[in-house]
Amino acid sequence: MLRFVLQRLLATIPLLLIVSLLVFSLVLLIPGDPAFQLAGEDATPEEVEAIREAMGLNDPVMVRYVRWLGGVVQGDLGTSLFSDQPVLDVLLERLPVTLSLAVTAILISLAIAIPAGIITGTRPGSLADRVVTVGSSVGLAVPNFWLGLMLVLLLAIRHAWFPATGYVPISDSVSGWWAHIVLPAFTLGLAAAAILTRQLRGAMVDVMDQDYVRTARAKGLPERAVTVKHAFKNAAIPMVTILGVQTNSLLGGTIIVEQIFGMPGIGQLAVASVFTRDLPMIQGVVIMAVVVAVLVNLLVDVSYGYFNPKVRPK
Amino acid sequence: MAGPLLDIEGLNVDFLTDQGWVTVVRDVSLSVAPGETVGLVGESGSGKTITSLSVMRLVPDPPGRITGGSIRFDGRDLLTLPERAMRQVRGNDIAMVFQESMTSLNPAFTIGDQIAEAVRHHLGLGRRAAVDRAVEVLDLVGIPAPRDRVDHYPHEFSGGMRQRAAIAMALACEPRLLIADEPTTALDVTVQAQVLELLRSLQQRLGMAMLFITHNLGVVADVCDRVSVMYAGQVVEVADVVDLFEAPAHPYTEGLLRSMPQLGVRGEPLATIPGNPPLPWAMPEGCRFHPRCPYATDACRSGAPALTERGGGHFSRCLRLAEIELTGAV
Amino acid sequence: MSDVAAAPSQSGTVRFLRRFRRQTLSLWALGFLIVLTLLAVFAPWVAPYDPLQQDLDHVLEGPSADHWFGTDELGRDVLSRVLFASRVSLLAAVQAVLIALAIGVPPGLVAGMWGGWVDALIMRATDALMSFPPLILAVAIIAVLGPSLTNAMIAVGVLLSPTFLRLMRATTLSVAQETYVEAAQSIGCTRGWIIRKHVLPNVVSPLFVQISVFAGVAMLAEAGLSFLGLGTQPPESSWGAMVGRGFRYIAHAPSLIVFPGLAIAVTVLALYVLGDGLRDSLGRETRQES
Repeated sequence: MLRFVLQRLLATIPLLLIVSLLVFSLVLLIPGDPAFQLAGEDATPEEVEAIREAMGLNDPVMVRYVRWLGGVVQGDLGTSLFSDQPVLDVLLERLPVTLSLAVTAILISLAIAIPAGIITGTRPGSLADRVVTVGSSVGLAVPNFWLGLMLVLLLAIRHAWFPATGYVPISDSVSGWWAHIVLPAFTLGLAAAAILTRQLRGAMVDVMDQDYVRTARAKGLPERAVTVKHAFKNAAIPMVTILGVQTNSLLGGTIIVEQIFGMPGIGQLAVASVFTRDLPMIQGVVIMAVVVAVLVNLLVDVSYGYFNPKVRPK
Repeated sequence: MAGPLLDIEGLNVDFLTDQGWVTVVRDVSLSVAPGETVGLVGESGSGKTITSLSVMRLVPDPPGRITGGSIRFDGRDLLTLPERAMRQVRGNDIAMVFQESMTSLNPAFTIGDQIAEAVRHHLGLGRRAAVDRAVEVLDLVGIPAPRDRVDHYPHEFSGGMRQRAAIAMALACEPRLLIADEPTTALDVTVQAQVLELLRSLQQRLGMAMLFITHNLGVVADVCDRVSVMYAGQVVEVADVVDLFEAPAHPYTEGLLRSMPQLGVRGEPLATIPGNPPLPWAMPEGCRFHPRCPYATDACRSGAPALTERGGGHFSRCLRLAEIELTGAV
Repeated sequence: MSDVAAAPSQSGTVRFLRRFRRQTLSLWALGFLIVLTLLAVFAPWVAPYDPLQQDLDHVLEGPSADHWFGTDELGRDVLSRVLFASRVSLLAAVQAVLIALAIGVPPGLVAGMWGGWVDALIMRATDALMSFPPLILAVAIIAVLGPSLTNAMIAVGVLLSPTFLRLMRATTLSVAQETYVEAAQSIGCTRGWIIRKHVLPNVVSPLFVQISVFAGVAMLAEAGLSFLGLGTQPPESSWGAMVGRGFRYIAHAPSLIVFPGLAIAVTVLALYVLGDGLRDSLGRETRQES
């Protein structure tokens, strides 16, 4: 198992190299001279030149890339232009907020999609099936920020059932954390829930026709065991693939959801950094996001083994 | 002789197709005595698999529906049992082995899991005892090193071993009736013989009754006591296996016997039955076999024959039963 | 030769139209999109008020007979603003899809036609692009180019392009392996000719399905980015930007966010339904799983 994980990690290295090249080239694309901006409007050409020399901007691009990459690998993501703090420290401080939001959103989307997919997939054409199918189309079309605002309006402002904004770490208060995380996580997870439901429904319809489902019935198992145990475990295989893709776009969605609910996470930081033109911070956010995405996909690959013994590493 | 263990009477099964509702099994009657092996023979589409699924009440609905008749097992009519009571019968009193061991075992669970599941459900054994039982039945069906194999997945088994495991799964709760639906068709010829031999010896050792479904008369001769032959959704002949081979009473059976490669005369081309079986929504008038029958007369085209006894428990659905002389295989 | 090639595609189009005509829901969606486009084009004549005309005596009012969708913080008519904003939202979606096509289609053709290391290189780069969480990549691109609607739509176009690229590559590959294309190549037909005569006709229908769905995705992305203030900049306004501005007055005037949000949701739904209908109308042989 460990070897399998290591192999997968090694296989992502070329991908990460290309990604790092793309992230680094963000600096090259930026209009204007960063040294000039840093020095201020009154700076003499000599002062600008000195800053340029100190920042290593006069070196060839390849040298700068290798130097930058060397720092990144050792955890040196540079210093924020806005707050002068190390980028990595700021990111690590905010990471728990974003991760707990994303993980809760995934769990909520699964909690919706699994029962909905099983029920509709075993009764295609039924009333429940049609209701869920329409519901999932609507769930895909509704912009998540709008959904979030509607939830705030109805459940936090009209009825003060939930706090409208803010975040409480789970280590401070579990109930406070839960109250603050439910609405944003639901907002973030709904689109994924819609896609996963569609996917699982289709897979269940296929699987229910399989011979082994008939075998399970011939054993005298209750219908619930036939669908929830025998059929679902097979239908879950394609769903896991989609879950990987969905997690990726869900990580992007945290940007909007954190903004609406005033959560001090990485997404909020990303938007703020655009307005302050804090490029090292943006680069750090992107690198962090890709690393998380790569880890999630690794997790997806590993969980395949549970659902599909044929791909399980020996 | 005691009453039959399984007694199917006047079974009708309809299916909803593009052409509307059609009857795929019509007025089928069949009985199996305790400890007896009965063969159910016919081409694909003759209704033999639907008949066997009806016994388990596993006819897919939609599109299928049992519309008439009774299926008595040990005196109780299975067709009127509540679903919960029916589930107690499935896998416990009546078990089934299917044709495709590749697809009839769940690829996502170990063989041991799949056997233990039925045992735990029906016999109420604990996890460990159920696994022990799984090892026991795997040993019974001749799987080497069953203690290790119990943790393997279906894809790690060869075709023959998978079918053995499927048989083990069916036997785990010691059913009184085993329905085997073409259990050897998908296997290599040498493996076929082994699995057949296994089924025969298990049936004798455990004293269970068996309903053996096949399109292959050669297999019937090896394992069955009595045979029912189905054609186009109807039973056309019922006989003792020796009787059937020596003196068939229906032209369709004669045709089947002639087309058996084992019985063909060396140097002569293998006989075949001309034409194809009718489609369920285009059944011929009169005797359903008449368009393909070498003995058909005008009477066969209009009058539908009933299942008639020739004597000694030998029945045939043929108008000319008394007039024609059919050749057997011996 | 070209007549022979054209004949089946002609009947394919007829078959497609016949199938599409039976998709009642998709026809409604198409009708809605046409009406919406007309409303956007003729907004100056349709809108009851000038979208910029302020009325400080009537600010943040709910829906009434005078103002069906209410008024905003400056007393401007929300209905008129939604109508005018539809121009920006629709154009932005079109812009993003065109950019995605421009970025995705040519390399897809090249990868499928030339194969070998060119293909490997292009596909590697595509994988890398797709490994980014989409919205984060968009924010990074906007951070470099600066917040504006055009830059936001460039970012969205980059995000959507890999799917077009893969679609083109897959179609090109499958067409290039047809016997008649190999035959054409063997008698010296150029790649450009093969692309024009054989690849493009085959890729048009699946491409249209993808365009319809991606117009919806682009509209959602534009709305999200404009909501964050990274897309449409004042004084211009799109539906997403309207929701973003209305955010501040959510407790006092919910209609400020309800109506533009509904406009986005219904329009995106219509685009998705249209995409589903187009896909279902294609023959099984060219149907694409999305």
